[in-house]
Formats: sequence, C-alpha cells, structure tokens
Amino acid sequence: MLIYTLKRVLLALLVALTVSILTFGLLHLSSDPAVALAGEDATEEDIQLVRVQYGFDKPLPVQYMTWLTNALQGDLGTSYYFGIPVSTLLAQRLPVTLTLGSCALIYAILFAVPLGVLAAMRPNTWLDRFCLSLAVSAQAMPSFWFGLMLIVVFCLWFPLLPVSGSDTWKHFIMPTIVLGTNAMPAIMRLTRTGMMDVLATDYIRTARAKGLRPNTVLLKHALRNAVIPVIAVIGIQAGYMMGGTVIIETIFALNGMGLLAYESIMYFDLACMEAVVLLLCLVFITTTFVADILNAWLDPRIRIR
Amino acid sequence: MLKKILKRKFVSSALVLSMLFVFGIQSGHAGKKDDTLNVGTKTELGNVDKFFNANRTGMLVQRLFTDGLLYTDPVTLEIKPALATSWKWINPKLMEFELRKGVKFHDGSEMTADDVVYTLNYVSDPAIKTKGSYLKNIDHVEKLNAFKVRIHMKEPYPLMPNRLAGGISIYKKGCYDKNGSLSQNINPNGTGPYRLTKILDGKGFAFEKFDNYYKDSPKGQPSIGKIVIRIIPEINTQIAEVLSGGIDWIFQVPTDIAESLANNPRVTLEQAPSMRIAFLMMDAAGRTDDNSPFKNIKVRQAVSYAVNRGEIVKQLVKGSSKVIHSACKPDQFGCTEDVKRYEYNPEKAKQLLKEAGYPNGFETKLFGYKYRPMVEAVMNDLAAVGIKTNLNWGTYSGMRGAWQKGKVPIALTSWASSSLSDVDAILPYFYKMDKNDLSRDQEVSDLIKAGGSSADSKVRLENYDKALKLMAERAYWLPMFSVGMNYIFSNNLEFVAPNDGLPRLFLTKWKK
Repeated sequence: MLIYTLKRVLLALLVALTVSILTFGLLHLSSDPAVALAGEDATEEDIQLVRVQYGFDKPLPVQYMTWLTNALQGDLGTSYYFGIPVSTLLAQRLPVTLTLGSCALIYAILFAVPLGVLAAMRPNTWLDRFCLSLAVSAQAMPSFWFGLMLIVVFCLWFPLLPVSGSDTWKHFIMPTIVLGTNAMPAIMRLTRTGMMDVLATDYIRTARAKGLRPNTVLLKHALRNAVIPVIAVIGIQAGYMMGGTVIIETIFALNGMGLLAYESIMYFDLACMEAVVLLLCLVFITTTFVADILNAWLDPRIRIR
Repeated sequence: MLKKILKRKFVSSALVLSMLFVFGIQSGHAGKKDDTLNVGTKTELGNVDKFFNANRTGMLVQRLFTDGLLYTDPVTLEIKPALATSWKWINPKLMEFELRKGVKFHDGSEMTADDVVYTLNYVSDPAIKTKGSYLKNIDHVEKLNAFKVRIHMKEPYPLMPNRLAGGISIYKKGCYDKNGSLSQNINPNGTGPYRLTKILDGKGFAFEKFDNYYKDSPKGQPSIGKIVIRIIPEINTQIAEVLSGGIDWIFQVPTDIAESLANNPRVTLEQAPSMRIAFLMMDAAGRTDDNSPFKNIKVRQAVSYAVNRGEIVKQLVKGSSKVIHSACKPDQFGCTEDVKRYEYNPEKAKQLLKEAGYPNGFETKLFGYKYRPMVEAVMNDLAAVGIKTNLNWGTYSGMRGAWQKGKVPIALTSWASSSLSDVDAILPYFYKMDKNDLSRDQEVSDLIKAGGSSADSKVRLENYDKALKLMAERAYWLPMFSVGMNYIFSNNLEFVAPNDGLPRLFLTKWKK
C-alpha cells in the first residue's frame, strides 16, 4: 500500500509540473501580456512601460524559473490587476468556491445514488427509463443556459431567490443545483451499472435465499460493493466541478475562485491565471489521488495490480 | 447576409428575453425606498484609484469620490473649472492654475496646493506603476503659493487640460506614503460628491453622499443618498437583476438586448454616443508584403467604395451610432468631416480594382477582435467586388501584436480616445511613423505632430484639418462608424446620458 501511495504521489507531482509548464508557455504565447495588461487604448509608450515594469522583457525560461522558484517557496506572485499577493486573493475567494463545490457534490450524490439504485432495482422499466432520461437531459444541458432558466423561473416569475451574489445561503441554491446537476449523470449511471452487476452475483442470491430483508440485501450487501467505482467517479467529478465553477460563478456573480479565473482571463492577469490553473490542477490531482487511495484501500486487488 | 448575421446574434439573448415577456415578471424596485442607487457593472477593479486601473468602471468610480482640477461637462463636453478656479498656458510646456478655496477632503481637511503638488509629482514619477504614459509627461509640479500651482511638462502637450478634466484626480498629501498604490483601497479619501465607504472584495463598492461637498462644483450637488456598485460579469444576469428590481442602473448593454428591453414599462433605455469609433485600417506601407495590394491607393479606395457602411450601421450597429467619414469622432476638437467621402458604390470599386491591376480581385487576411457581425458584413461586401478575405479572429492584444509586427494587411479595429474630446487622443497613436503606423506617411505624421505640439488652437486646427484631408484622399483608413452606448435603468430614475461615453452617476436623481 505504501509503495502504491508513493507511486501515485510521484505521478501527481509530475502532472502538476507539466501543467505549470504548459500553462506558463501557452499563456505567454497566446498573446502579448504587456499589450493585454496596458488595456485597449494604450499607447506604445504605455505598453513599453508595462513590459519593463512587469519584467516581460526578460527571456521566457528566465521568467518561468523565477515564477517556479517563488511558487515552490509559497510565493505565487502579485496579481498584476489587483495589486495584492495572489495567495491573499486565493484565500479570499477559495471559501466561496469550496462552499459551492461541497454543496453541489452533496446535492449530486444525494440525488444520483438513490436514483441509480432505483434504476438498477427495476431495470428496463419506466422507472429506469425515467432515470436515464434525467441523466441524458442533465448531461446535455449547457450549464449557462440552465442557470439562466433557473433565474428566469425563481427570480422573475416566482421571486423566491436572489438573482446573484454570495451574501446569504439563498444565493447558493441555484448555483448548487446547476453545478450539481451537471455531475449527477455520471454518478447515477455508474451506480446503476455497479448495482446491477452486484445484484446478479452469487452472494446476493445467497443473501436473499437466507431470507434477509430486501432493504438489508440492497443497502448492506449490494450498495457497499457497488459504490467502489462510484467513489473514483466522485473524485473526478469533484475536480470537474472546480472547473465548472468558472461558468457558474460568472453567471451568478459569486465572488469565488471560478469568477477569479474568469476575471484573470479577461484582464490577462498572468500571475493570477497561473496560480488559479495550478490550484485547480492540484485540486483535481488531490481528489483523484484520494479516490485512488480509497479504492485501493476498499479493494485490495487494485493495489496488487 | 445581414439578416443571417442579425438572426444569429439575436438568438442567444432572445431566448431568455422572450421567456421573460411571455410569462411576465414579478418585480418591485427597491432602490428608491431606501434612497440607494444599485448599479451593476461587469468589471471588477483591482484598485479603486484610477491612476492604477485602466477601465471604464474605474472611470465611473473615480468620478464619484474624487475631483480633478478641471471637469468635462457630460453634455456640452466643455472643460470647466473644478478644484481649480482658473488656468492658463504660460507656454506650450507650462500651465498655471489658481486653486479653489474651501474644498474639503472626505476626512474633513482642506485641499491646498500641497495636495496637488504631492499627487501629481507622485503619479508622474517614472518609478511608480501608474496607468497612462501621459502622466509621465509631467516633469514636476511647482507650488507658487497655498492656492496656486504650475505644471511643468517634458514635451508640449495640448491635451493636458482634457486629461486634467478626465483621469487625473487630486488626493490628500501623504496618502501614498504608507500603503503605496493600494492606499486608496485601504483608506479612500477624495474631494468628490460621494464618499467611498466600503470596498466589497470581489463584489463591488458602496458610497454615501458627501455632505460637505463644495457648493460651486461644476458637478452639482449629489442627490441620491447612497450608491452601491455591484460586479455582475454576465449581461443576462444584469438584465435579470434590473427586471427583478435588484439593480437600478446598468450600462454597456449590447444594442440588440437593449432594444428588446425598451418596451418594458419598468425600465428606460437611453442611447447616447461615446468617443469610440470603429475603422478599417489598411497596410498602405506594405509592411506585410512589399507586393501588398493595399500599397496601391486605388485598391484602398476600392475597399472604401465597396463597404456599405450605411446599411451596416442601420441593420447591425444601430442605436446612436452613425457613419463617420474622417479618422476621428466628429465632435472631437480638430476633427473635420469636410474630407473626401466614399459613398457605397460597388461598381466603382470594381473599376478601381481593375485599374489597379486586380480585375479578378485578390485574396487577403482580415483581422478583427470585436464587432463580429460587422466584420462579417464587411467581408461580405468586399467579396462582392472580388476581394476574398480570410478572417483572423482573436483578442485585441493578439491583433495589436500582429499589426505591430507588420502582419496585418487589413483590420477592423476601434479606439475610444480615453473619452477625450480631442483628435490628439487618437491620431498620434496611429500616424507616428512607428510600428503602430500602417501608412508611414511622413507628410501626415508631420502635420499631426505639428498639431500636437502647439497650444494655439488655430495652429492645431489648421494642421489637423490638412492631415485628415490627406488621410481621406489617400484612403489609409476607412472610417466606419461611431460607437454608441446603451444605458438601461429603472423608470423611476433621472439619468443624464453623457456624450463622451463616461456616465456621471452623481448626476442621477430619483423622479419625483
């Protein structure tokens, strides 16, 4: 288990390093950061001033090594746009995103797992078809459109919820639904498949033959085993959700890390963009890593392989 | 073709808006009840101090809580005395100002020459990362007495009064000493009609009426008690907020959405001009290729005749936008529309192309970064006379980088002149014989330089007039249209729509 864990840690670090190089390179190659930072009406003198002030006149590898050295020491630089340390900005914005992400994940699990179990219990019935339709619709629905539709219904037709902002728990309801709904199909479909596989096994037949109550068979014996692959998917979905917050937070004006990512792109705040991408990548790596370890712990066959 | 473009552009917003109108809206405007004007804007500010930010929301915030020595009237665009009571040019590099007595900062202290000297000397220091190179043209500011100062410039700069009436605020002496560029974020202090009471990190700003605002201010006295500016990046969310009563005022609303909302009884649409113009820029100097077709004046004139600007403005741009004929906004100082005009004439365009040696037209790249439907309409018009364009679409910085490297044969771009009503805020940046200059015409460049080096209005006007006439005759640009600004606000508000695209929120009032 220890060797397996160490291998996964090493892999995670390599992924993080690759992402940081790619991010840095692509951001600098996509556009001239000095022109972008100086603004649309900037004169040539303005642009040159920015180029020198922010060190964009130095060679790219030198800029990257400076950034990496500082990042490894916990200094993610100063935001070009906000003028404060990026780590301070992230600390201000992360709680909103974590709140949203956690709520959405809980919402997704609470709906997707029971629906997946229900569909597995009655395969190829109207109930299964209904769950499948839900999954397909949720998967196909663009989150920005779904978000706007919720605003129309719950803020304009029936003014029950605030349109945008992050001041109260009510502000998180619609963003949670939108973000969570997008993560539901994968969890629901995998729960269904896993449950159907497990329900067809001999030990479940034995448990039923022993005369155990259906709920006990389902929840104690079947679900526990069926849930193993679902945990891996939940880990991946949690990572996707962090990326999904960019759109959701922009629509609902939630001042979290997703909105910060959007703003950084809009203002070409390189220091902030690099940090946000790295942090999102780390969250993704961590959640996947935790899911891998959990899976290995739950299923010894995985760590032996 | 225009209809197709219109249709596509309209679909996304129409879906949301149509649902609102079909099923109706429940709303009630809350702002008037608690005397709070709720404003929505898409842009967050990294720094509330305009010296350290470069966007329109920054200009809006700055005018609320600070004043400059001078002030631009939003309707007449006339420059009026503000913190200064009078000013004069001593020579083209030196200005003198008499300061107003009895003006209070929000902390209760009186504004004097020391504050002006301190602020301007600080922000003009080359080592300080302020936005706007014009600040660095200030050599130093000299105090003559407690209420009289002189601004010494490095180079003649006739635009200085406009700048002082625009983005140059006066702060309290010593304000930057403790926290540097973040000082105004930490302890905001200005002399403006509203006090900045709260900066809501990532959410917006809160202001309160300043009761000790000086009586003779050209800005008038503030009327509404509180103003809250909220950052809402998505335009559809902004509209939902306006319709639900959460927000009272928004701006920069796309014309198609704005006009769809115009019939809603709860809101008012105001369409007003701005200083921004859009234009087609052509590589007359042949920087992309020595054999570039755009080196030939007949080709550039053919392009100018080929594009149906009237129809583009009527069908696509709409609002308060108008076709322009000169390389500037018509109401800018020094701008003349008395130049060679290119009315839509595709037959003449074809004839000119034939004379230029391109009877079957040619193929080229067209760069763009905004106004996509208009860019596509231009491509369509050019194709109709035989000029096939391949669109190179990207960001502004990407496009500008390409044109500076000499890779742009033709581009549709725009310029807002920093909302300044003077051609010196646009012409020198494109006709200076440098890497931004696609025409490299020494004669035009010299005329513009002469216009920008004198404080004598007559001399300036003469030089700009000659330069603009030459530019039109030689068809370096095809000036396309002036860009308007759409404001949507609650119908219980009185709002003065500005002619320079810079909203003055301190002029808003509740309707009686």
